[in-house]
Amino acid sequence: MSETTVVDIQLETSQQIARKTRRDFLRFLRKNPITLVGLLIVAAFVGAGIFGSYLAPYDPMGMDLLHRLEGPSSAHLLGTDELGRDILSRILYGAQISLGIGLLATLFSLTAGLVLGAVAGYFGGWWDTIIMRFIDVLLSFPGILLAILVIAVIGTGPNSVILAAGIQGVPTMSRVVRGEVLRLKEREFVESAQAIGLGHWVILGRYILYNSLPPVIVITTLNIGSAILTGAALSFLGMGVQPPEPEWGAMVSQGRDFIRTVPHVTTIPGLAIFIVVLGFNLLGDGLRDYLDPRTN
Amino acid sequence: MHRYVLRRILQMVPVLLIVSFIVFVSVRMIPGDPARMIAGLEASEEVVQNIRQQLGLDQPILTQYVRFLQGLLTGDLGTSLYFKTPVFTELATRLPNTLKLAFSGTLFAALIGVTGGILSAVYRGSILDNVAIIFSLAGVSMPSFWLALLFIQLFSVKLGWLPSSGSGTWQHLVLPALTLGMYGAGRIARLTRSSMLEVLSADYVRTARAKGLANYIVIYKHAFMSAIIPVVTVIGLEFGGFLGKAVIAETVFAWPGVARLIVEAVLQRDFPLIQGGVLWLAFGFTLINLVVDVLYGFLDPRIRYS
Repeated sequence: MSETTVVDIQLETSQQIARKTRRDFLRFLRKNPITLVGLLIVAAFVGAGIFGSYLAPYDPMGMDLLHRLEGPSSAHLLGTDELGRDILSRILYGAQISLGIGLLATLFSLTAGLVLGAVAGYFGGWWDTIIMRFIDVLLSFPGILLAILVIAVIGTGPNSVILAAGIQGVPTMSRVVRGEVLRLKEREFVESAQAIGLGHWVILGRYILYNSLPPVIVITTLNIGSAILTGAALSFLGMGVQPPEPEWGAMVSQGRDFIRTVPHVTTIPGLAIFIVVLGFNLLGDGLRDYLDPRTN
Repeated sequence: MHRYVLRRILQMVPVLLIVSFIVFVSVRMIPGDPARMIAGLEASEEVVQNIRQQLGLDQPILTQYVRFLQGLLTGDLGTSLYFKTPVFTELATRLPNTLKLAFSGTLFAALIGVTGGILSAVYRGSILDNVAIIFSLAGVSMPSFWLALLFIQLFSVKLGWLPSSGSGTWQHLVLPALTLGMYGAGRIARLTRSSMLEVLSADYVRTARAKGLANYIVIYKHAFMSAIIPVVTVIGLEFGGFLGKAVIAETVFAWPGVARLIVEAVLQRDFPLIQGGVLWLAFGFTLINLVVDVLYGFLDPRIRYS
């Protein structure tokens, strides 16, 4: 036995892993065109949010009383509203508002959900009882009622909408994170980390939360869609972003008076909300299949 | 079973207490002085102080909360600043409307959702299945206020079949109930589909088929009857959720319910009315969830509560 067997171990570099992941995802997108559609919608929406102010042909607040409530034409591709403002320009500017509300509200629910879910799941006992009862309390307000209560206390405006829509996403996120932590904390790699004496927070962050990323990413994507919906609904009710800001929900609300004669004033902003939320939902569902096949 | 029900009720009490406390404190954090609002802008400070004493607003906050809880138990929720009538009366006259709407909405959601889900599962992979999947995804992505306006455009303006606002006849109920129902229809369809698919591949369904039973009997009697159990729970939960989701439908269609009253109360800064309305809907929602949970145990004997 003088021969030594040389085992050829190829360690992948992180670049190689990244390339492989990218290739995997592209292959997944080719097989799931619906997810690709979702991704393209989201990309277009983000593009509108970033570059909308450069792309818009008119000033979103610029009134033109000679051209009120006009249908689509070559001068105004999506027509004009009751004050003669260009609807396309308002939609493009509005993307920024909806995107901002959706992202910041989701950031809020993500942060709160990660902390609450992780503490409840990892430390258990009283922590778990208190946090989960708190989540029960949040869940005792049906539908948009909690968001309305938040608005009643802190007033209308974009920041209030972000908080109101953000709080609504906290229960789902906390529950998902808690479930993942409960599942992962019994695993061997966590026990080994505990055995070598790593601190609780290091174990939570590096080993547990890192491994629960797939469902968290899925819920985050879906939460952006529902935060946009909640924000638009609040603005529609007159409790969110106030006119004359080109917020899509507020635009639908303002166009209501003309629904019998010029429906496009309400139809177009509503369609914009629908398409964007659909995009996030399609992408979220696709990511669920890709990242977390277990749950399907 | 009895012990489970009892435990659930006991668990509910602290949650409801905290909910009431949160609502109570929130409403007191709303900027503005209710005593000043009742007295009017021209009233002297003395008059305002008098009203403040009458309402107990000069007491410490915990004393106020205890008084508020006592009022809650006896049905005394204070007086609406806007209507100048007892909050209890305002809510009680509108609650039947909200319940009627939530119930009809649930009926629509269940009819559309369950039918769609079954067809989807039985004809899995067909065009019908794909259409149902797309519809259910669209249902959860659509802003309901927009859907409501589309319904008005089609059924009220173009076709002239149904009224676009108000209440009184069953025709007034159709569009708001349909708007509300679309919320849940997609979710119910998805769940029915996956529940049916699970059952359709079970051994006893294959046995039934092997016996040579007609396809519709297998699907209805063997598969549907057990696939429907988890769906019934979700339908129940949707009903509870509709109490809050009714906000949009009630507002767009001017349906005189509690949810729309809360929106008006917020815009009018009618503190007692916001407080009472939010509490009623939250309590109702929690109670319905409890009832649904308990019913689930009766429907599905496999479930044993520990």
